Amino acid sequence: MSSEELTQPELPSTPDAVDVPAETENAVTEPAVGDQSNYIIVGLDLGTNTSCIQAVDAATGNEVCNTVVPTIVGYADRGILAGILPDDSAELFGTEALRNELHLRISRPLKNGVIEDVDAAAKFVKHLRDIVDPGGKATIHAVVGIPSNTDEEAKDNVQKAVSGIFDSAILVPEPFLAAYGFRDESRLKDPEYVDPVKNSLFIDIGAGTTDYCIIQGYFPTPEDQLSMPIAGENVDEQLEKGLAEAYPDTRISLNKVREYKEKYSYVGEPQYGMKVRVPVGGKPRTIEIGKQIGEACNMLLENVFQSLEKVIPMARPDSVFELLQNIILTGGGSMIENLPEELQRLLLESGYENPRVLVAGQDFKTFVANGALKVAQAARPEQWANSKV
Amino acid sequence: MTNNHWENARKLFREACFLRSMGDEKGAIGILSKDMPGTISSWMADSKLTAGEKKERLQEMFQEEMRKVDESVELCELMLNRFEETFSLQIRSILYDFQLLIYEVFGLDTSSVRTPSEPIAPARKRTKGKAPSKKTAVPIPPPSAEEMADRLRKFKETRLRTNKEWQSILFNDIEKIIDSVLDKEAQSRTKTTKPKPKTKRKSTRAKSS
Repeated sequence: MSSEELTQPELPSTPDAVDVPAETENAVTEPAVGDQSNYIIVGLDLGTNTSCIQAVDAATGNEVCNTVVPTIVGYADRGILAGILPDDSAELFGTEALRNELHLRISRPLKNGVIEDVDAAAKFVKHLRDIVDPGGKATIHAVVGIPSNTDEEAKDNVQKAVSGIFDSAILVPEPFLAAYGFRDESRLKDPEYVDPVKNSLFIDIGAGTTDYCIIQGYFPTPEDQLSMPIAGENVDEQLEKGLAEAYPDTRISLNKVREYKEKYSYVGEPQYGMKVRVPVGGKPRTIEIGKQIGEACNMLLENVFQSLEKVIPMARPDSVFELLQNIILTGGGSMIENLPEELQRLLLESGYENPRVLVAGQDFKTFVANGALKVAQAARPEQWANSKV
Repeated sequence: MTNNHWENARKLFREACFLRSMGDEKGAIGILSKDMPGTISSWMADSKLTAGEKKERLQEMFQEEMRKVDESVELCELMLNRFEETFSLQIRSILYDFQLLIYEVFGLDTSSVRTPSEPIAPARKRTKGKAPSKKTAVPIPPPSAEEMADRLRKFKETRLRTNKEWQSILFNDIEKIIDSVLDKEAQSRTKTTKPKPKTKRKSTRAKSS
């Protein structure tokens, strides 16, 4: 769970690399943009901690980018000396902002899965656009993930953040996109492969919210979804509090706390031997954080389990047994050690029959964007025309 | 007064059936779960009939409405035969769904409903003025009022649990999903733009601050 930008493959280094003329007739082209030099389709997951953007050239279908970027905007301190920040930039984004955190006022545009700072979010989206289209000439149509059961204001904020940056944007619920992105169409004929959209319960443990979504072959309706505001950020807060109580003479920043969590997180019986070096009065000191990490993560486990018990009865009674076999964890929280095993144990102890909890995998950061890109590629020109921003 | 309640109940039940047939599942469920129980209770409270007679009357009313729906289904079948060539599979799918829902609501045997992909047997075609022979084929015992209420309750619960709206969108029907997303967006825009006259909004803000 590194916070590095996972760029795969390398980003185009010159505008020419992405400015591919949209000449192919059978491509997903829009009549209105016929005279444009290129046309790019984007799938975007705007996450609280990290965002993922995937893009293809609409004309050729070639991948333009597939990048995970920490959702961070850093504003340069006033009066900072020249040469300190890269290119003396007034604003830095993602990993670059984190690297230069000392000289920046850091803003996280999203909180609890929704945009809190629209201006910062818009700047961040513009940064993502610049990655996709450094020349700034392409027509870009995007499908953007939004948390399940998002209210109108939150949707409106997403619209504002992408307005004027993309040419059109369609907002689609994230749990659906995650499931769609996770689905491997190339394996559908494989008898061993369990199609995750047939009858599954997705649990996306993000930074701001934990989203539950029952997917049974249909596009999930709002009632198929439940969003709980207990997620990774609450673990960070609890861990920070636990460490402050255990080691009152140390001051550990929230970013550092998050780093420890991402490295050592686990649930279940207390584990020890997790030692980190922290400064105490400027001197290094090694402290043991195993107990605090366990307590913070077990709090999340407990909450996830309680919500899960509310969600399971929402499924059709005759589908529950199969559904229990396909509980799929995704999001950053899914990387917590022992989480599937412990969740399975709690379900068993609670009387559920043969539950099976799976983890979607290391690629969890890309599933929503991947699903969004698949949706974007299937959109008709008139649908884009109806979603101008 | 009793008559009013009775007529209201009848109207509501008919309206619910109508709404279902129009695809307004939520509206129908709303009537059946919210409006009807109160009206029926009021009628039962006012009526001087015995409990058994009340049940019987309710049963009769449900059956009568059922019969009307049944006639509608037959009419649909007739339309299906007539317009088959024109509308082909698309219209058959819609009618199939319509039939299934009605059969499901009234606890009828859905296995007799023809699937949209099944070819239409020539024997099904009817000549003008001839009474449909279907009714005499398999007599289905009419469910009691209690059974009916129980079925409706179960149906409502199942629908609410599964959340499969009248027109569920298949997972891989992406174009339809996008249409649905855009429709909802347009609806919410209309909703939010309507009640927001600028002057009012400003005054509310001033008050709250």
